[in-house]
Amino acid sequence: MKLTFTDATLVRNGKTVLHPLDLELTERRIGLIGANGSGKSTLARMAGGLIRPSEGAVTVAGYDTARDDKAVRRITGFVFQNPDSQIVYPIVEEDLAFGLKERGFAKAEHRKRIGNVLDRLGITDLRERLAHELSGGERQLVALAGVLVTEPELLILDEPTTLLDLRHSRRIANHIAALPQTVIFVTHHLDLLVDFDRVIVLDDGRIIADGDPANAIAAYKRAMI
Amino acid sequence: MINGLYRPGASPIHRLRAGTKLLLLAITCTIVFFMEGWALAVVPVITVALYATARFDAQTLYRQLRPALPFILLIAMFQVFAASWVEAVETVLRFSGLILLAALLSLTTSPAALSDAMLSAMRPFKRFGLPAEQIALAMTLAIRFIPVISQAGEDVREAQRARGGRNRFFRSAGPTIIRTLKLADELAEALEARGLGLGDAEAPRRPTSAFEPRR
Ligand SMILES: Nc1ncnc2c1ncn2[C@@H]1O[C@H](COP(=O)(O)OP(=O)(O)OP(=O)(O)O)[C@@H](O)[C@H]1O
Ligand SMILES: [Mg+2]
Repeated sequence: MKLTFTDATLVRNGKTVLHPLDLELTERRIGLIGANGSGKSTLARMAGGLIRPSEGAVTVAGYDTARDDKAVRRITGFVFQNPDSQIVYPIVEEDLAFGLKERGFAKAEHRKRIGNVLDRLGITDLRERLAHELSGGERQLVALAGVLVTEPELLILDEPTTLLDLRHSRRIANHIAALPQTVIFVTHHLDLLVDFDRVIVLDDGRIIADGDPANAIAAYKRAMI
Repeated sequence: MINGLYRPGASPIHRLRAGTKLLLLAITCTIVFFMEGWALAVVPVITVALYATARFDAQTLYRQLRPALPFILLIAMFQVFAASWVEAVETVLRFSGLILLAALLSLTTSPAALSDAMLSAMRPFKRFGLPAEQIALAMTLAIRFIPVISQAGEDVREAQRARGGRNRFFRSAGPTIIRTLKLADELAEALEARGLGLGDAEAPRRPTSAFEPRR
């Protein structure tokens, strides 16, 4: 899996949210950190093809996100910060089936995969619960499960652990570490990134550091003083 | 509608197929609507029996009826004066029966199964341009988001109380609507990200190399 940004720029309402970016991402675990409003979510959305660059191009596994957006969406999974807007069916089990149904998987495959992902995240007991009766953290886990169940080749996570307790965010971090897919992980929990292959630091729409976690996190801390 | 949310269970009524229940409800409602006189006395008997079969208690039954009760009583009162007390009683029996039976369907049927059943019921009309999938999805989203939005309203009122404001329903309407619009925006993006409508696209051929521009 390879992601490329070629002079990718984003201008919104006359404001440059992302300055021209040139990136080639081939690592399996990529962390994205930076201050509030620095452009992390914007960059993540762009990588997943949810927004197109105003200028330049972004490709995911060779697909141009502007031209082949359906192909990009098919292989990309996206978890946002607010789980409420991502759970679209009232019952957990049915919600997990949504992405599978849209991708045309057979019912038997639904059952197998759903059982599997619930088990891996340790939330089998939530299977038949109503989404609106779950706690915030439980909903965040369900939102994550709904994306993992489609087994995307590229997984983009935008602060998916903000509502989770220590045990669950640790569990998710471990789970992500064991996934075979490419993961882009936006977070303010720096300790979740220590084993990552690459960490990118954004500030005001520009990359100010990019490298191994220790150096990148140190640069981020320096920039925040 | 909020009270009529699905309650998972294993009763015979729960296990009945959604399409069957939908059809039975349509037939029963039609019959009840045209029933008259003493025959209507069987409606509450059957309704209570069905609720019992579905293992719901009296309180659950009452909760389905409560929101509509003022309207039913109002109409009944009107009929006592305009027509006769017999017709007033008929109206009460008829309307409460209809409401309870419809509620029983949503109490015992999972929203996805219900939306699938509606989808197949609407299928014949797709030829005439009826957007069946969209209607079924919209219905499911409505069921999912009614509690979310009422929670958003509750959060806003709580925040206003916490800051010493008075608890006035209309003052919370503005912020609640703004939250709801933001939620709708996020939902649209999430539906896209989760793959809405991917099924009807044939998968494009993958380029052999990232450097080979596709055309
Ligand atoms: N549609 C838009 N119109 C105008 N400005 C926008 C738009 N979308 C984002 N921005 C601005 O772009 C900047 C980057 O936003 P982004 O959401 O990417 O930040 P972030 O790094 O994810 O922040 P956080 O840590 O708070 O989530 C912000 O200043 C934001 O106000
Ligand atoms: Mg963000």
